[in-house]
Amino acid sequence: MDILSVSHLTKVYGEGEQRTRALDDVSLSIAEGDFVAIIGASGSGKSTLLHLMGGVDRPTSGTVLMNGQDVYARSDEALAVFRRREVGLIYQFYNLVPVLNVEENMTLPVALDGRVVNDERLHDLLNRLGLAGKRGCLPNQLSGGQQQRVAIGRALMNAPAIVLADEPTGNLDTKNSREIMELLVQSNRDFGQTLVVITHDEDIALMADRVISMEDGRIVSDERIRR
Amino acid sequence: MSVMGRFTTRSLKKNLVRTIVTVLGVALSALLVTAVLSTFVSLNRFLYDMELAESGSWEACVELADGAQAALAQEDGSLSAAGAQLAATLSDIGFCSYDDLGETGGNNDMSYLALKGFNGDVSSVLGLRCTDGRLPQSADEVLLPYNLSDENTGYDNGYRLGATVTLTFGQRQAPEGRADVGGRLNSSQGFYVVDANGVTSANGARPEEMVSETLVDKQTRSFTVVGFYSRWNQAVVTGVGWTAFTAEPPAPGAFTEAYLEVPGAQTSAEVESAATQAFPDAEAVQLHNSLLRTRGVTSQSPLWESFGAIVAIMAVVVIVACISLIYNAFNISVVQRMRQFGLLASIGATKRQLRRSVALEGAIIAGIGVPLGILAGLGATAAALAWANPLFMESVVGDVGPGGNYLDGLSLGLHIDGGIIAFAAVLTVFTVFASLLVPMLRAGKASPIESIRDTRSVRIGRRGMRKAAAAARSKRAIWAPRGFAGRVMGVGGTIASLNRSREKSKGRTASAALAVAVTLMMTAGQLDVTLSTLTRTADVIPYDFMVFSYIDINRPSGNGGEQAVSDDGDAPATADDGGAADAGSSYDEVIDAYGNLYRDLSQVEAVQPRGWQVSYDTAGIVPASVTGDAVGMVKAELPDGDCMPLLTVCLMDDQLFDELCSRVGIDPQEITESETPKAIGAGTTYSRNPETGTFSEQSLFASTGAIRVLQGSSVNGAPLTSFYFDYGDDGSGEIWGCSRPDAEGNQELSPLAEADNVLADVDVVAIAGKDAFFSSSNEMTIAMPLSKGVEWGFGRSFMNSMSFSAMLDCDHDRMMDTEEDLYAATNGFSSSFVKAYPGTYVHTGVSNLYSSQVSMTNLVSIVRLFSLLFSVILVLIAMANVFNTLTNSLALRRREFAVMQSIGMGRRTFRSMIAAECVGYGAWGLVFGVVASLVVGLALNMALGSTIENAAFTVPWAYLGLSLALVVVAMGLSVAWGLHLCRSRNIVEALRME
Ligand SMILES: Nc1ncnc2c1ncn2[C@@H]1O[C@H](COP(=O)(O)OP(=O)(O)O)[C@@H](O)[C@H]1O
Ligand SMILES: [Mg+2]
Repeated sequence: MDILSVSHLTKVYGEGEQRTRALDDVSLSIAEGDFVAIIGASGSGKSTLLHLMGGVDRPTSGTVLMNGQDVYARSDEALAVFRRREVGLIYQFYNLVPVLNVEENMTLPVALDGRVVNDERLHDLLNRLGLAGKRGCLPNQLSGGQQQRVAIGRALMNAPAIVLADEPTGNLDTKNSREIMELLVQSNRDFGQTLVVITHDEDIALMADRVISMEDGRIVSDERIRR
Repeated sequence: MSVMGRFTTRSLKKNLVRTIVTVLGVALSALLVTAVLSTFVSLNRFLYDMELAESGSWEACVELADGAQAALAQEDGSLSAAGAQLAATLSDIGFCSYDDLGETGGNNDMSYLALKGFNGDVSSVLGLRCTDGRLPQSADEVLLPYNLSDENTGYDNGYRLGATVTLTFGQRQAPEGRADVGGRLNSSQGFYVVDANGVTSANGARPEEMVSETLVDKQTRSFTVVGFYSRWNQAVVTGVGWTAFTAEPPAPGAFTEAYLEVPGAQTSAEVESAATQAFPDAEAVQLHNSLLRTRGVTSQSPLWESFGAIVAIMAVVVIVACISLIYNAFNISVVQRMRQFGLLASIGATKRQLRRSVALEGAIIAGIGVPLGILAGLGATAAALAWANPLFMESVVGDVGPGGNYLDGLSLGLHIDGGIIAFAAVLTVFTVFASLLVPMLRAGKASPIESIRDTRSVRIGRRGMRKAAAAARSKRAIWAPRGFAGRVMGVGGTIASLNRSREKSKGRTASAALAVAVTLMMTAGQLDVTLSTLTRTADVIPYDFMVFSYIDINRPSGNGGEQAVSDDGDAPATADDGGAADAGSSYDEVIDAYGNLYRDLSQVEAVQPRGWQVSYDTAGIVPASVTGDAVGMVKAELPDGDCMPLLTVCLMDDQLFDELCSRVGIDPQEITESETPKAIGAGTTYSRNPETGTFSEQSLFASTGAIRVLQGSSVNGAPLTSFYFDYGDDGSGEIWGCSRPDAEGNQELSPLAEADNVLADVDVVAIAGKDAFFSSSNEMTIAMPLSKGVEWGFGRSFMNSMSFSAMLDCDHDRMMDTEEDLYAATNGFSSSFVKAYPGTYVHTGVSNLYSSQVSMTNLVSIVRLFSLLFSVILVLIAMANVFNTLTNSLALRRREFAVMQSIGMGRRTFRSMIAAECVGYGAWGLVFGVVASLVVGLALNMALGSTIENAAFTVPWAYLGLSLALVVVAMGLSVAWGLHLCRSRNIVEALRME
């Protein structure tokens, strides 16, 4: 069953001379529990596609359906609610809130949703991410790999419908990269967490069930290599 | 342009809003400094020009016993050695008795017309100007006072332009036995009289009253009359009267005033020492303080010191404000680019290059802002002065009266002083670079690795980390509401609280900007309060005109010296019993005459009469419980605890008295139907405290109650008619009374306590405040209706010290005509009274209180305008500062905000987080701002303390409210702009931002 379906999505940035067609009539569907890798040259529109799938930006035209519902039919406020409940976002530069400690950063989406933190889930995640001893640390006390684990924890905390990661290992060494990817893949395998990862790393792409490659805002190939 | 230069200009362009706000801030600072200084300089220049026109450019006046000393000092070089220049001399030639000057119409209080020779450019050095004709150019030409001219007196004495006059003059010989000044008296000395007891006084009393000095060695000299002057000026008035001038250098042995200029002097002490050094034998040295003050050569004056202190405090406030604004702007711009600096450092930019890049940014901003601000400052000052000029001329120059035309061509205009412009430029450029210093050092410290790794927008210290760790350990639920903000505003508030408690700077920059804003606005308000206190020292006069008169029944008019003495002998005299009876009948006549005068005045066109009164000075015995503190200066303590102050009695006509009663809030019948004397006391007066020289509200009556008023007093049968307070050495004192001198000039003089006194009991039933009473007085005053006062016997014994005043209103359109008509009516009154009672002396006057009031109002408007402009600019600086700081601190955290939004922070939560943060800054800013402004306010108050005693310090609540409102507006605007920059639509953009 498709959890996410994108049709005829177009995104144009800027005006006049500056006008860039970052995404050009893209359509695709992602099945629940799938692990999809998106590859492509820099500037080919990968991040744009990811942002539109995550409800962070609004498309110029086209629709995004999540669980059959039109994401961009929502108001800005409802869109924010959508982001914190249905989506887990992970960026290249961890993007943690500097004044919040590890557990606060991880549970921020829960707090924003006005819900009570599920301590069991938090402990479980902290243990799995190897952050049990770092709960009270602020981001500037952590290494890059640890910060990215916190970001992953934050993305998984709400058990979102889909996790979207934009070059999550782009800023890490090989050892850390592998550990991070293993954590993501594990959540995909163990809990059926739908996962979309943008990457330049061929090894990582080969871990995915499906690889989509992009060029100039279009999908040029879409291969299923597993399942 | 170098790479770094291009980098700098590009960043200025990229952050256009911030660049513009910073340039504006610098420009405003330059504007304010320029405007304050050039207003001060222009005003000072005007006062200097006016002082020059009024009394000339001399700086010191040295009195020499021998005119030859002046020439000698010039020849032997002692003048130039002292750095002084001899600008002019005035030397005594002789003194003309008014008897020898022909028929001049009486009403002349002067003893002699002094004849003096001048040497030098007296027009510019002494401000001696002609009303008609020109200054004498030789020793056979003369300049006379206009009041002597035939045109003025109506007699034919030959005192007109072109005529030849022969003046008889002599030398003043001190009275017998008083030869301690070599027997001869000079023009600086007053008229010498010796009374029967051998007491000498030089008070300008008339020659016929006592044994007095005489004129000897009379001789004559002919002159051509070439000019008249009419303006009072220091140079034309001597100890004994006006002066006639001819052009003649000082004769050997003649008393001479040498007028000096000391070009290099920096202080008045230097001027004085130069003068005494040049003339060690000088009899006296006098300084032209009013001129020296405007030249910046200081001299003591409480008001002037207050003014200087206020300007100094304002200057400090302005400079602090400007530094804070510019510092913030630059600091933010550097912090924002730290990453770029690090990047540049990583590709090989040296620390010097980085610092130079910041310095270049400062130079560009100062290069645009400073000239802009100085030009705007000059323009604004010129415009404000142009607006103020007519009001200013009306209030400052309007009252100089006849002969005021010497001020023609004088106007209050912008005086552009190169030094001031340079100073303003240097000060603001200095401010820019002082503000740049810290950011520059910080830019130099940018380390490549740290800044590339560091994507954090806030800085966190050890404390923040400890707190974060403690939070994780605590048993509290993770997102339990934190802080006040968290409880009120949910998650957004909690994040704001966490931010505040863990972040290193705790929003100090924003709080500081807000504190400065509050301080500036409150200071502006305080300035307004202060200035209005200053201008309140002037009393509000409740009517337009006051006509006053004074009749001396026993005093002969005219100038016939010898004859006057015998007249005096025949006149209703003072010392015998018959005198008292005569005085009684004259009293009724005088009261009647005043009633008639008032009727005449009331009939002048367009006049609305308000009433009239007669008043005289006497003494009283007042119980301690009734005496107010302010009487302290002039009261004699009596053994039983009561005191004896000087007391003024006002007898009012019904109209005036009814008005007073209604102002005080009592029924007039309480007094008019009383059998025994009752009166209203004048309770307070706003006056100069003679000991400290400061103004304050002084209470004369502490409460109502019974007092006793002196109805008459005599010593050895001679009535005492005037009273004065004699200060003892220890500050205590007693009241003395004196009788009028008899034909031989003998006068009784006695402490009142030892005289035969008749006292009347008076019940003071109400006290009139300063605003209720019609005039202010330094003495305790009681008012009662004239009809009852006469019946109760008040005033009868003091007829000769009694004065009349009528209060009148008029149509303000007809002001000038009315004034002339009132003059005509009073002149008619005095001439007909003198005709009916030969040998009397009548003095009259008209004062136009409305125009003085207008002058004062004009002055207040001018002061208000300037303080308003000042305040507006201060407020603009404050708002720019807040705006700059807040928008930048928000812009700096754009990426952080974008992350929060991308993981699902809704707009409302976001807003409440920002609002909570701003409230935090605002609260601290307010606390510090209010404390700082109270300090500034107290300083301002203390600066004024030397002038106004009881100007109690009050918190200006209205301005506090206003500053709060303005701070909220500034915060609102900046947050709106900041949020505009962080709109959720821009999340992606912000995330892409490095
Ligand atoms: N916010 C934006 N404003 C303007 N242009 C943008 C914006 N975001 C992306 N682009 C442009 O759209 C194109 C696709 O960018 P992006 O999706 O980030 O590519 P990728 O992630 O594949 O490197 C690029 O040419 C980029 O310059
Ligand atoms: Mg990308």
